[in-house]
Amino acid sequence: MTTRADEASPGVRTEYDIKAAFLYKFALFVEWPAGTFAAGDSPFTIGILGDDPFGPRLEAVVGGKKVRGRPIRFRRFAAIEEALPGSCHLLFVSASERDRVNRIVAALATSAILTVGDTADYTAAGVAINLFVRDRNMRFAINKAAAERSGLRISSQLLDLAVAPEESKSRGGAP
Amino acid sequence: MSTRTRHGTVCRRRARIRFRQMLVSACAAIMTASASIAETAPDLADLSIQELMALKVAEVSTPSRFPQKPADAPASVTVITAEEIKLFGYRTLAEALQSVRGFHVTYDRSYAYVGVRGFSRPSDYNSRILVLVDGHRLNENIFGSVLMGREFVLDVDMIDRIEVVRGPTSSLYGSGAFFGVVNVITKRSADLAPMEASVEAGSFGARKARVAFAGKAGGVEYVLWGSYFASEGPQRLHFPEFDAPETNGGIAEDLDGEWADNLYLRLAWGDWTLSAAYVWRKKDIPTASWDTFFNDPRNHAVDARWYGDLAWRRALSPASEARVRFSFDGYLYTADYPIEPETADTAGLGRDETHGSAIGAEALWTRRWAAHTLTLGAETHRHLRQDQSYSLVRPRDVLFDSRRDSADYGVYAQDQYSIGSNLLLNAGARWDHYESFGGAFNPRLSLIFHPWQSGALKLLYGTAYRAPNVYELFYETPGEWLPNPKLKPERIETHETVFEQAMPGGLAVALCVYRFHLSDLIAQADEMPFMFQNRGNATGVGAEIELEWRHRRGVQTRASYARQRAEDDETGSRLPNSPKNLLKFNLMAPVWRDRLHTGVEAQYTSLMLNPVERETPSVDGYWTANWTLFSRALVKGMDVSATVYNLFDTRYAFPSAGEFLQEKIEQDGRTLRVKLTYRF
Repeated sequence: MTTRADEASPGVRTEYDIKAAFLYKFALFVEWPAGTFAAGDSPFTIGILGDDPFGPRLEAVVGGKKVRGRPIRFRRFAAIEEALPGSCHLLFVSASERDRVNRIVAALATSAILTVGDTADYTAAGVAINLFVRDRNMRFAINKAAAERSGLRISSQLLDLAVAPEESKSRGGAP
Repeated sequence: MSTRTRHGTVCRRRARIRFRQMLVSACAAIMTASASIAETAPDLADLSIQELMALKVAEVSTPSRFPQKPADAPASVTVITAEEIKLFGYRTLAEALQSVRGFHVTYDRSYAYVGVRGFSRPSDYNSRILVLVDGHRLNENIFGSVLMGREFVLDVDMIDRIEVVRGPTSSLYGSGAFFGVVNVITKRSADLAPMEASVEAGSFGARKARVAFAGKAGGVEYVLWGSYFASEGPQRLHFPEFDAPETNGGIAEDLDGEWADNLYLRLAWGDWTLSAAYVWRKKDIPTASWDTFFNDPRNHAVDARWYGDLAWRRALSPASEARVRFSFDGYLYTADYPIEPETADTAGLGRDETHGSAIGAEALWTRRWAAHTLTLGAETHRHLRQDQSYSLVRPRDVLFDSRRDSADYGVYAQDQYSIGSNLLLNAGARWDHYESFGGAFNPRLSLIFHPWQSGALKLLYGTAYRAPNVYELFYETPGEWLPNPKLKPERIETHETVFEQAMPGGLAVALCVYRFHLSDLIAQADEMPFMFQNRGNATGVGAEIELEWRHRRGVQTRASYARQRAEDDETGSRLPNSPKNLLKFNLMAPVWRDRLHTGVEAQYTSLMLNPVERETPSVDGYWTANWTLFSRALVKGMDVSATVYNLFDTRYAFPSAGEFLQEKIEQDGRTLRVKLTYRF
């Protein structure tokens, strides 16, 4: 049905609604090193670095959920300096940071922060997980080495579902 | 396709609304449906990763020829999904398009015609709208037409979604993308069960069967299906214009039958996709159009359309993609016109025969870098046959026989430039060359501004053209009708402003205001010698509003209103067949869990003027409503649906073109269809 294209149909949702749900899933299928959280019920923080493509949809989709008993908090950052350890656990690096991605990855190299992006070549640049659309389905590629450098452990289930980075190049879609 | 090329016929120029009752009933139906809504669809975050990966992302690929969010598209876009086709019981592409904001569909018991934004020339055979199937151009090369009823090349059940792009799009697609582009995207093998069988039955002896196979064998994904349709049609159709003893008291008996066969194959292997489609349709003609004998069972037309398409698509790098397409197209049209009684000496029958075939090639390259997405493309067609003839059947006498061939080609470029994080510029142009008239240059320029979250303001400008077709250029009948090889293309220039806003709670609104100017419209001359000429200019202005509400529990409502005014520049009068107001209302809702759903639609089309030569100046506005009950997996793998069309049995009619003696063409009353689909 219409104005917002076909999202009205069951099984069809807007891109950033689906991506928001994926951020939450990643939080569930990745283990942070011991000592990352101060207490058993300390909040889990999802950060957005750069222009926020989610808008209110992130809170709408993920708000109220818990990550292993921890409530989820959201923060928006304008520069990587604000997103250093302690400020968040999962950091979505927006496409607006494309020119600075190398510097961002370097700054976070040893932090226990899971980096997620949705921009071509982000995995090669060292972002741990990169979301992309192929044939109108959401897929993701994982840079395992980059994730492990931060001391994170990605579950084998997530690794099995990931697409190999070299396969993630093809965009696909309708003619 | 059309009965219009009949030799010797030189274009003769010449409702009840149960408004309140319907509104009340529609409201009652909605309230009943809403009251019984059951919990469905869990929140996104509750889905498993596998389920999330199976979801489809809302994006459109027709407006810019690469996938993008609808809010970034340089046009106002409507998408009709497979779910809507099921839940509203659409039987043809034309019926699906009737639900689209600003569209109105008419039917003359031969073909269905789609009007856009108040423009629909009676009998234009949909040549001012471009229809694609998976990107393959469907408009044929004799009349430039696309057949959208049962004569459409696909079974609607095999459609995944229909992207409807409003506005001129010749900058990417060339000729015919005049009022818009309709891209019909077929279901892929992954969307289908290994085998699916469907049977249906409806009023007037309508019955249909379809069987589809899908899967993967040796790395090749395949989809193969075929369907058969037949309908006896109403047994007695009354046309008061023929009220006379010698014309059976105006009753056409058993003369509205229709038969259609469809066949489709799609093979996908790596970067390659091969697809082929075929449709054959025969329609009895009850209207005795083109001065033929009334109530004569010989009156019928057959249309067949087929194509083969080999496409290659590869990502050259993360940022660039190349596509190449080779295609073959065919079209065959035959119609018999009873003009004399059959005797031992003569069949008394005239016959139109039209045969078109073409081969084509297209290459397209898209590259993203920094803030730019650049698209470059080239396309060519070699029309091997563009043959038309008219002959008397027995004794055989060929009165007109034109065998033509031609070629055309076009090159185009487009850049989408992200000027800032909330501003997009999409600029493109295409240059085409035709043997008949030479070159055509068509730009499109759009500025898309996102002033805040989920809001888009689009400023759109574009031009489009429609190349004169070989029927308009070369049709002739000695002494009466002359060819006119000097015809120029028709042109349209459009300015449009679109505002789209998604709001919390699943609410979305779209507003459009537009103005278009048509020049050099091709029309028949009023006086001898008869021929087609570039002789009309027209202007259209309009505004549209659409509201959509998607409730968490699976209730979806859409309502739109279009106000439109299309006028002839010379006379200042409204164009015929152009309703001033269009109202559409659609509701989908679960009734019982995920098992029983309902789809209700109601549509209002306001008064339409008849062509000026008619005694009756206009046909009345009318409301219609359709109601579907759909049950998913009642028994494992089985869907059952029932639809009542024209629920309130409204009497309504459409304006008639010059080839009819009828002042207007009455439509069917209430009809039914039940359908059963089983997935193995």
